[in-house]
Amino acid sequence: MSAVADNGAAAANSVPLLSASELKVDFKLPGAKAPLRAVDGVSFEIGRREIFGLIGESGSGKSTIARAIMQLTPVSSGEVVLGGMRLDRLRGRELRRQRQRVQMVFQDPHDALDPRMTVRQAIEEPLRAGNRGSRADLDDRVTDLLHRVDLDDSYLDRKPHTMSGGQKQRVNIARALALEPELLVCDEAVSSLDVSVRAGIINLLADLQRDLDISVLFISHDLGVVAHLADRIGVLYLGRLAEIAPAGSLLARPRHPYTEALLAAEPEPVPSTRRVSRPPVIAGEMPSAASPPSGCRFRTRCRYVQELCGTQEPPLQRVDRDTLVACHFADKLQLTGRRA
Amino acid sequence: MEQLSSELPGTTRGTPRPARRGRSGVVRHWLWGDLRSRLATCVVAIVLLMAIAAPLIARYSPTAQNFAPFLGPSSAHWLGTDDLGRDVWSRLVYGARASMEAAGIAVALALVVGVPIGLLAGFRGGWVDAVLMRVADTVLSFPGIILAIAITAVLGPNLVHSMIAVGITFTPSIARLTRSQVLVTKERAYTEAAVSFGNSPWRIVMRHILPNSIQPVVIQATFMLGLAVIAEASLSFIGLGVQYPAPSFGVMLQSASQFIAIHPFGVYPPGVAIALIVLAFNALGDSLRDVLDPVASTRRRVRLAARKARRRTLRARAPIAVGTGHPQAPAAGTTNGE
Amino acid sequence: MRRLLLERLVSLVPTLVLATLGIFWLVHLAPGDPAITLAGQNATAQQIATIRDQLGLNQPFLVQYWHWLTHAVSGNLGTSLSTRESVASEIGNALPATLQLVVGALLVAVIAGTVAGVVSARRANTATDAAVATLSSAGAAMPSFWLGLVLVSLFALKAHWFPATGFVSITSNPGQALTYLVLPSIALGASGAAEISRQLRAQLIEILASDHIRTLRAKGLSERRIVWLHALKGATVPMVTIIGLQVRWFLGAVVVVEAVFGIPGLGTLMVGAAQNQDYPVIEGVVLLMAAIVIVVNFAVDVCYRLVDPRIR
Repeated sequence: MSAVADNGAAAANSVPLLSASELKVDFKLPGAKAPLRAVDGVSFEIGRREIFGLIGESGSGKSTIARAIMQLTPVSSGEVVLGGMRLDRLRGRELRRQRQRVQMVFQDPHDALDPRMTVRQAIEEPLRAGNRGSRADLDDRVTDLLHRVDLDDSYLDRKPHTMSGGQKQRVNIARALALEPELLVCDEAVSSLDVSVRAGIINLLADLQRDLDISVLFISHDLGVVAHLADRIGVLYLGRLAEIAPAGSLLARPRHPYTEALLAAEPEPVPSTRRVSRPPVIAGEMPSAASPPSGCRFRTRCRYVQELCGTQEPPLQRVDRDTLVACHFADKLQLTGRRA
Repeated sequence: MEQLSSELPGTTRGTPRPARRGRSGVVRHWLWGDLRSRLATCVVAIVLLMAIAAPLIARYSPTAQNFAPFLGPSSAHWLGTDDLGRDVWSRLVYGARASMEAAGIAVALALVVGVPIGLLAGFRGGWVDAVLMRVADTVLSFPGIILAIAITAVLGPNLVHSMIAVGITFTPSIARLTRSQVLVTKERAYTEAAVSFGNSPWRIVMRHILPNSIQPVVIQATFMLGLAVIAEASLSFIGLGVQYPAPSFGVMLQSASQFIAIHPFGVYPPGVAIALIVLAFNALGDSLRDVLDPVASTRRRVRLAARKARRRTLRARAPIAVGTGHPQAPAAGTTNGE
Repeated sequence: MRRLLLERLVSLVPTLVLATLGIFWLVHLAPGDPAITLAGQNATAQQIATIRDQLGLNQPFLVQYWHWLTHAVSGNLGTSLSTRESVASEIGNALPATLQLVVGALLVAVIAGTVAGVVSARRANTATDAAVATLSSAGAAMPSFWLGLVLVSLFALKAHWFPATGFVSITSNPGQALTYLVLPSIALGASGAAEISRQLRAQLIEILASDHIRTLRAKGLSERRIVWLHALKGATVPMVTIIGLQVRWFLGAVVVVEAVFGIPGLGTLMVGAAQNQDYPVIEGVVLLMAAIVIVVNFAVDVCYRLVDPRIR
C-alpha cells in the first residue's frame, strides 16, 4: 500500500486529484423508452499518491465509471474534475491534451493491443500522440518503460500474439505510463489473467505507484485483490455507492450490509490453482439496472431490511471521520468484518 | 521466451502461435500454397503479361484484316481468324489488355470511393451513417448491369465510361463491407486506448481502424475483379463498352455471335479466356481468405484431412474399390460449409 | 404483424424516393436536348422553344421531378424519343417476354440448384461433392451470355433440337414457346443454380448434423425421406431469401441473354434505348426494374422477420 496516512486523501488542506460529483451515465437502449441509468449519482474523490479501490459485482456500473472518467463514455450529468479542470466539459484539441493526464489499463490485455503493432510501436504510440520528443528520445523512453514493467529488450519487436496474458498486460501498463499520467485507471486489470500471474501484476502496480508517485483507481469485482492494494475502497451497488472507507477499517469493520456480505463470501486468500476467482456469492441476484428497487437498492438482498428501506433511498453520509455509508441504520448495525 | 518470476512454470503462455510466417510468407502461401492457387497465379501472371507486353506477344496487329476469314486454328493462326480475317490470337491478347484495364478501373473506383464512405459511416455513426447507408441501399436496388447501362448511356459509350459505371455499381457493397468492419474495430480496446492517448480522429482511423478493417475488403475486391471482367464483356457485347473494332472479349463475342452458324469456333477463345480469368481471380480470392482468416483455413485443412482419411479408410477396406470415391453416409462431424 | 409491415413499408419510402430521384437526375444529366430530338432536323428555334415549354423543361429540377413521378405512378412514363410510342406501352409489350424468361431461369436455377445442393450435401467432402463444386464455380465464372452462345452453337445450330433465336409467348403458343425458352433459361439460370447449390449445401450440412435429424434417423426413417422431406423443409426460409436476392442479379443478366437469343424483352428495349439515347425509355425501364427489386427485397425482408423472431 502507498505511504498515505490512513485518514484518507481528502485532508482539509490538500486538493484531491480527481473529484467525481454526482456522476450519472445513461444508456439509450434500442426499443426501450426510458434510458438505462448505469451510474446514478456517484461521488467520490481520489487524492494524490492514493490508491482508490472500487468494488462491485458485474452490472454495478464500475466499468462505466472508469470509462466516464476517461471520457470514453459521455457523462449524462455530474462532473469529472481532474486537478481543478473539468474534464467532462472539454472538447477537441483541449480534450486531447488534457486527457493524457489520465490513462487506463484495460481489462482484456489481448484486445487492448493492436495485433498489427509490435510492442515498441504500441508503447511509442502515446508518446507520438503527445509529441514527446525526437526519435532517439522515444527509443530511450520506450526501453525505459519496458524495463520498468520487468520486460527486457527482446520484447520490443514482438507482436501480441506471441505473448502470454501477463506479458501483454505488462506492456499495457508500460504503455499507460508513457505519458506520465497523474491518474492510472485499472479496469479489472487482473481479472482475465491466470490466478498465478495476478500476484506479479498486482505487486508491479504497487511498486510503480510508489516509485512514480501516481494515483491509481483500481476497479475490480474481487475484494481480495483490492484489499491487498488499495488505501481507500468504494463499494458500488447497482450504480450507487454503498460505502467508502479506508481499506483497513472497511475490511475489519464494514458499515454497510452489502460490504459485510461481500466479505462473508470471499474465498480464502490462499491462491487456488483454479483459473477464475468466484464472484462474491450473495443471496439472490442483482436486480436489473433498468428497474432498480425503490428506496435502498440493496434492500431486496439485505439481511437487515426494514420498512424504511423500501420508501426512502439512503444518501451517502459521513458516519465517521473517513467513512461514508449509504444506509439508514449504519449507526445501529454491528457488522462482521473479515474473518481473522 | 523467458519466463518471468511471477509466472509459474507450466501456465499457459497465451494463444498458441498460428501458422504466420511474416509478410513474405503470407504472400507466398497465398499465391503458391496449393495446386489451385498456383494455377490461378500462373493464369493471372500470363494475362498480366499479355496486357503489358501485348505487342510482343501478339503475332499480328489486332485490327489488320489481311487474312482469309473464318480459318480454324493452325500454326500460322493459333486460334484462327475471325469474320474480317483478323488473327484471333492477337485480338485475344489485346482483349486481355482491355479486360485488365477495365477490371482495374472498376475495382479501383469502388475502393477509392467505397472505403472512405464506409470509414466515414462506420466511424461517425449517427445521421451521417444513416444517410450514407440509405444511399448505398438505393444504388443496390438497381440491378448492376442496368445501372451501368444507364450511366454509360448518359456518359457516352466507351471503355472508361462503362467501367466507371461498373465501379459505381460496385461501390455500395464495398462501402457496406468496410463499414461493418469499422463498427467492429471501433469497439476494440486498442481503439479506445488510442483515443485516450489524445490521438486525433484522423490518426486513429489511419493507424488502427483502416488497417484492421481492410482484410475482408481486399478479399472482396479480388472477387470483384472477376465480376468486372464479366461486366466489361457484357457491356462491350451490347455495344456500350469497348467500341468496335477495338479488341475486347465482349466485342469479339459480339462478332463471333453474328457468324456463329458458319464459324461456331469463334465464340470459344474469348469465352474460355473470360472463364479462366474469372476462375483465377476467384481462386486467388479464396486463397487469400484462407490465408488471412485462420479460422476458415482451419476448416479447410480439416476438410482436406477428412478427405484424405476417407480415402485411406476406403483403401484399407476394399482395395479393389479404390477410385470410386463412393462412401456411405457422411461421417459424423463433417465440417460445415467452405 | 401489421405493425411490422407498416414499419418496413415506412422505411421503404426514403429508398424509393432516393431511387426515383436518382434515376431522374441521372437522365437529366445526359447531354442533348430532348426538345431538339423531338422537334426534328429542320425545326426552328421557335418550334424548339415551344416544345421545351410543352415538356416543361424550363421549370426547376424538383418540379420536373415531381411531374415525372406523379405521371409515372399513374402509368404515364412519357414518350419514346425514337419510336414516338408511349413508353408505357413499349414496356408493356416487352415485359411478358422478360417475365417468361426470368421465370424459366428461376425454375432452372431452383430445380438444378436444389438437386445439386442436396447431392453435394449428402456426399459432402467426397469426389462427387468436389465435382459439383468445381462445376458450380465454373458455371459461376462464365458469363451467362457466353453460355447462351455455346448452348446455341451446340444444341440449336449443330443439333437442331431448339431454335436459335426468337421468341414466342406462352400465351399464344405454349408448345412452341417452350422450345424457345429452354436454352435461354438454362443460360440465365446456370449461375443461379450454382449459387443456390452452394448455399443449400451449407445449410443442409448444418441441418443434417442437428439433433432433430438424428432423432428421425433413430426412428428409422429412410435417408431419402429425411433429406427430401424434413431437412429441406428446414432450409426453406433461408433459401427463399437467397432466391429473392437472386432476382436482382437475374434482372441484370437477362439483358445480355436477351441480346444473344434475340428475345424482344425489356433487355432488348433497354439496350436499344441506350444506343439511341432514348432517355424516357431508359428512365422507364430502370424505374420498373428498381421497383421490382425493391418490392422483392421487401417481401423477402418481411418473410424473414416473420419467421425468425430473433431478428425483430
